[in-house]
Amino acid sequence: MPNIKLQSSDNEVFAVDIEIAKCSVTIKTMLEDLGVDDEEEEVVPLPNVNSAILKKVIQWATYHKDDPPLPEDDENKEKRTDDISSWDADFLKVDQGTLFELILAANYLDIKGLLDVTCKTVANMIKGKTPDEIRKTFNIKNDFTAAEEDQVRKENEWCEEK
Amino acid sequence: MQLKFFCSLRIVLFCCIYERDYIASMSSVGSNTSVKPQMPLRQKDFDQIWGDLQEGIEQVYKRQYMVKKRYIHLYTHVYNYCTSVNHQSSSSSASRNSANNGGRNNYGGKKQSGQVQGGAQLVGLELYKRLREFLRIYLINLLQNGADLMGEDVLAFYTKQWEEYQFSSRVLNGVCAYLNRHWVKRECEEGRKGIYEIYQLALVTWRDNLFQRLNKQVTNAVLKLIERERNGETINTRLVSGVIDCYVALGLNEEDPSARGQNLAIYKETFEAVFLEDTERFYIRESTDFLRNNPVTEYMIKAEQRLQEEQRRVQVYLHETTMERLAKTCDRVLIEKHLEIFHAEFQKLLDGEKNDDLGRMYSLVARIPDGLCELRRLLEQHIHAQGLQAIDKCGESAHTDPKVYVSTILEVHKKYNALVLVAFNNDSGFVAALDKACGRFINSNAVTKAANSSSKSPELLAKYCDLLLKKSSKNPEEAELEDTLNQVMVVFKYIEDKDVFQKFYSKMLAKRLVQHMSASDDAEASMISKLKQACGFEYTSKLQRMFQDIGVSKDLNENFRKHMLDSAESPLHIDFSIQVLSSGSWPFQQSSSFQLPTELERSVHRFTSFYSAQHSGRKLNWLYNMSKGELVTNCFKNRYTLQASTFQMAVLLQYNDNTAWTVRQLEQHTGIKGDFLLQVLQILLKAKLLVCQDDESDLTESSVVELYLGYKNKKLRVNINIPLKTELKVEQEATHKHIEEDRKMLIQAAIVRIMKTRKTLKHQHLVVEVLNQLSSRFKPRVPVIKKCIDILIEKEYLERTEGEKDTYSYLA
Amino acid sequence: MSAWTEDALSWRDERLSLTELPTNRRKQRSAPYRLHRPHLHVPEPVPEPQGTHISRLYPELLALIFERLPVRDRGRAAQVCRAWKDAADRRSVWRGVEAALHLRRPAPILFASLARRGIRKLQVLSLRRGLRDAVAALPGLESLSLSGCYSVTDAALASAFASELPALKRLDLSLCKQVTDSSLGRIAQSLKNLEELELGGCCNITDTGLLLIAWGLRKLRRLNLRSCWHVNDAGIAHLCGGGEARGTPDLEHLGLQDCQRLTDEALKHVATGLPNLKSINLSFCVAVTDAGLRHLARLPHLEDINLRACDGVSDAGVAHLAESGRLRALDVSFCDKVGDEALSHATLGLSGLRSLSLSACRLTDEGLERVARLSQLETLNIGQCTRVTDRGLRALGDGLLNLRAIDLYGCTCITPQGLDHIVKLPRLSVLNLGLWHVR
Repeated sequence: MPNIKLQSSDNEVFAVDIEIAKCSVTIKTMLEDLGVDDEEEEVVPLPNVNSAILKKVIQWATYHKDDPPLPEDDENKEKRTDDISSWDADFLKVDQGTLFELILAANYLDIKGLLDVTCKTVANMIKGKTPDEIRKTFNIKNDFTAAEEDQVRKENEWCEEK
Repeated sequence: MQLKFFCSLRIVLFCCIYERDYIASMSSVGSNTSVKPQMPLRQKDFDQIWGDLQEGIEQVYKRQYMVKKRYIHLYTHVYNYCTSVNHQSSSSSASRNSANNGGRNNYGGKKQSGQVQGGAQLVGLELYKRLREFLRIYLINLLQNGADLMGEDVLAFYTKQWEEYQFSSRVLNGVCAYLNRHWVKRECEEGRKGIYEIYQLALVTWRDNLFQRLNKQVTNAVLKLIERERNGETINTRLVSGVIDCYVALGLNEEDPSARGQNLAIYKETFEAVFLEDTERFYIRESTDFLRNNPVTEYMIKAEQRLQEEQRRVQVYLHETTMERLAKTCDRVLIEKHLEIFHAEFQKLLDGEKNDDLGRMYSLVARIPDGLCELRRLLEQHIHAQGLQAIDKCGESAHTDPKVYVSTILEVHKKYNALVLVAFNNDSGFVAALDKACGRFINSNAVTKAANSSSKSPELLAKYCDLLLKKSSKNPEEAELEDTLNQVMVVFKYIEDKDVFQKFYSKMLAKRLVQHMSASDDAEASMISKLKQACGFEYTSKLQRMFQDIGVSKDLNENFRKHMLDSAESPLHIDFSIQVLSSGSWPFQQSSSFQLPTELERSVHRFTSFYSAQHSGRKLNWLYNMSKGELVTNCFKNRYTLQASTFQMAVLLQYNDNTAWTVRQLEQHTGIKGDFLLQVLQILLKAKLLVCQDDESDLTESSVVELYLGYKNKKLRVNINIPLKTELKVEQEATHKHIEEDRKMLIQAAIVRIMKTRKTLKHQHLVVEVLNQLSSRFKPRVPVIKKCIDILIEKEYLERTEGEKDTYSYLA
Repeated sequence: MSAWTEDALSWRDERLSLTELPTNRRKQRSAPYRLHRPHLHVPEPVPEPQGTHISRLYPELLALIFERLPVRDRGRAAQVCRAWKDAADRRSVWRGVEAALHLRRPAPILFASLARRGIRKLQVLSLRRGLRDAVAALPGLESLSLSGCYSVTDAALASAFASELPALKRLDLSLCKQVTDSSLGRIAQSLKNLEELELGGCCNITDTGLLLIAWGLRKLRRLNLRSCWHVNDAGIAHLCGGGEARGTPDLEHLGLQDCQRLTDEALKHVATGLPNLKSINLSFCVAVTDAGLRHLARLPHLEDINLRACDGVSDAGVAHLAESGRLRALDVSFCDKVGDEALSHATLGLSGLRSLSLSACRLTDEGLERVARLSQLETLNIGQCTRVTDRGLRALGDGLLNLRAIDLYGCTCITPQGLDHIVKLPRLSVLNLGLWHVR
């Protein structure tokens, strides 16, 4: 398998199997648009991903290279978040910062599977908590005025039904 | 107008130069691995990003080589552009710098959140607008190069530019993937109209700027090219297919850009409609000219060829959905418009037996809905006329020789059956026309008219069967016979009075069986099973019964012989065999009065007692008129064996006692009634076994008939058993009369059956149902049905319903 | 004048609390936030946020996360901070969500929020006032359920549906017992694109109402008339396009449960006028007989028939249905004239059956041996068939290798030994035994 060289924002170069790199739709589209020529050993810079994160992304993509494409989402079905594979769960036992950076990288590189599983992980951290507990979990400051807070509560009261 | 365009162009050029300059200085920053601005993005930053982006996009649209690094660079520009304003500080307490010091900085909490949101959307919109403007200007520029081109030049220009533009736009779409993925998607979700994914945007912009201006001349050029190809020139079909591909691609669904499946509106409106008009015009002219100067047969070849060409045209460079409408247009112009000429030609082709041309005409006219009706009608007419003519031609022999009659019919059928099969593709409508025509000429023609009866056809056909199945020196081989019988069934299928055929057939079959004249049991059985297949079990049940009786009789004779050997009584000295026929199945009549000669009496008596011992309660009636025997003469110079009928035997045996008898005496001794006896005597007189002073035809009761002792014959075995002429004639008349009677019974039975289920029914409906029920047997005549209804009313099966006109009700 | 007062009212409402926590809830509900039960999971110490903060995630990414939350948690996420509120208001977060509300009075701010979020399905849990405003505020409304809102009147519906609502595809009025034919007239006029209409328990509906439906709702695919006792054969004839109405030829699902006035005549109409029918529920239609089922057997797409407690149905009726050969689900439970004989038909013509219910039928082991030949069967209910023994179960265990669920409640003659044959089935996941067996 031919390799492609990916360079992180801090200038570390990773040689990755092209098929694995194509997990990223951004890279895949680029290769389709520009055509793949094996002659040239050109390095592809990824200025928005640092080496620590890029390493993890490649690790994830390598493990998932044979995954079938994700199914089209059905709007009538509530998305499940309890279907994270144990490998992914282990893979994502990281600090919040890394998790968010993985989300950013998956989004930048357009890797649907990784974006999905990282978002699920964050969703699981939100689930079942009150707004205040959520704020605590993520260290978020409540920037609503009292009146705003009251209005936004009323707007969302119905979500508690059922 | 021209001037105005020119002006705007200059301004654009100026802009470009300015921005390129600017970017040149930026690129050194870009190469520094990070293009992420460290500071919050402000309008100035957007302008910078856009500047580099625009340069990259220009590179793309100039189809310059692009390295991966540059591509990612551009992608990242768009990404940064889209995400820059999104960010805001909602948790300033935690805003430590991240590892890669993640570029997106807070826009500042001072803004209302809603406004920040709006900002993000506005930035997306701004980028989108700039892209749209870029494409628009690019295309307006492009238009300058193509606006004045005509003919193939405009096509070459248009298709080349389209191909390149498509390619470049695909790259642009890839570079703008982030904008598509989030901003465009959200705009669509919010229900905003007129926002497309970037590739779609590129198509829409092409449509609005290039296509709108050029489509008329482009379409015209395409049509010209197609016309040149129709005129026999070789053209560059890629020019056409390029334009068509473009028109198809431009048909996007404005309401729902993401909707799958093509919307062919542009292709249909801009190209297909005019193309079809053009096609129609071209072929109207061509076909009219061609027909004026060439025979129709040539025209048909031409039309066929044109249709094939047009089909190929769609396959090679048009959109597949055009196939149907193009074919319809061609059919209308090339065929439907000239149908009258075709019809006139059809008769000529039939007369000239031009089967290839007929086939061609069929396949052409078949393309027109309902076009074939007239051809079918003409074919039916033609076959009918040919059939009548063929029978006319045979003259007298058709009336008397069943073989000539049937084979004449078969020849006509065979010829046109082959025509229908080969030239008309066995089209069911044409098969029906053949059947209708055959039915008509077979049931009504010169022969039936001469006989004044439609029953003549079934009679002759039955006779033909008899010829085939009767033992004779001319019997065909088994395989050939089977084949001929199949042919007979072809004719049989068309016979209306199938009951008449049945009557004659069973009569002749009976004779063949009783007289052991069948050529082959297998052939007989085969024919019966064919009839059964055609008309059902009931139709042949009697025929089968007859067959069975003959088999049973064989065993019976064997048993009787054994019985006689075992019996204590003295042997009969007469070789005696009988056939027991179940009454009702056989078309024989009880013989007239007759006194059995004493010589035979004993045999008959012994058999009668043997039979009644086996089957008590059965009564045997003897059919002397059907019986026959052999007499050995000792009175002549030679010892002759005479094969004679029972009546002849009775008469001749009288001469054992005396050599001369008066007619009256013979009548008394034999019990044969006067008229009949005279006929028997006439034959014996003719055979010169007896002599009489009086003339054969003037015999009286007192005429003396003597044995002629000088009888001589070359053969020692002489068959004197020839059927009586009057007997034959009577028989035929009787057969026809029987048929009438039987029909009345069948009609009555049908009426009763129908009324039993319907209880009450209008006269008209009843007649229709009766006709329906009996159609497989014969075609009942309406007056006869009326008569039968009257009979049934008389017999109190039916009554006229009171107070209702023409209605009958069933009396249980 | 009236428009002005309406405005005034809504203005006043805005100042009051917009939705109240209802005091009388039909479903089991909890007060806000109670569902989070901290005592149930080990309290984690809030990790000191390190590295990249969550605020670095763009709204489009927050929206992706919120999409993956249950509706309750989406509502709570919206209350965390302004940035989250903005992200949570994106339409993509609420795609497909049905908002369930108690409507006490018009609540413009709430309705505006729902509209902003692109909510297109609304379930009204209880209704006092404000239906008209809710409907007007949500122009893209696709589905509206008023199920169980006893207080809904014809007047309320007339005002809510005063103008055309072309987007509305589904309307549930089940158990809205005050609704009469007059509302159906309004619905037929304003909701032309309706595809599903639930009228179960709307016992004031008559044949006239069905005539109105047949006149206006051409696109109807599902109609439930459960316990509409006044409906007669003539009403069904309207749906089937007899007479002046155009009918509802696209109808695929028809619920006629407990419409006791219907006879075989109605089914004759159905067989000719509703060619696309896939499922029909006739349970408790006591006047339906075998002859009616003969008509149904002519429907080319009919797959699912419910004949529960149709006393008029016997073995011969099942034989008629078997002729079609396409059925996938059949319920003849409590039809006490149906027995083993029906199954000799069933095995011939119903081999495509996935679900079969024969509870309380005159069934013996002999019948079960025939059932065992329906190898595609996934669900089998033979509860209260008291003549069934282990022998029958053994046959089922050998034949029904695709069985997933079986009901044997009240089969008093079976033993644990017999059950072993069932339990060993490879795909079985539901086994109901009721009280008789403890396992």
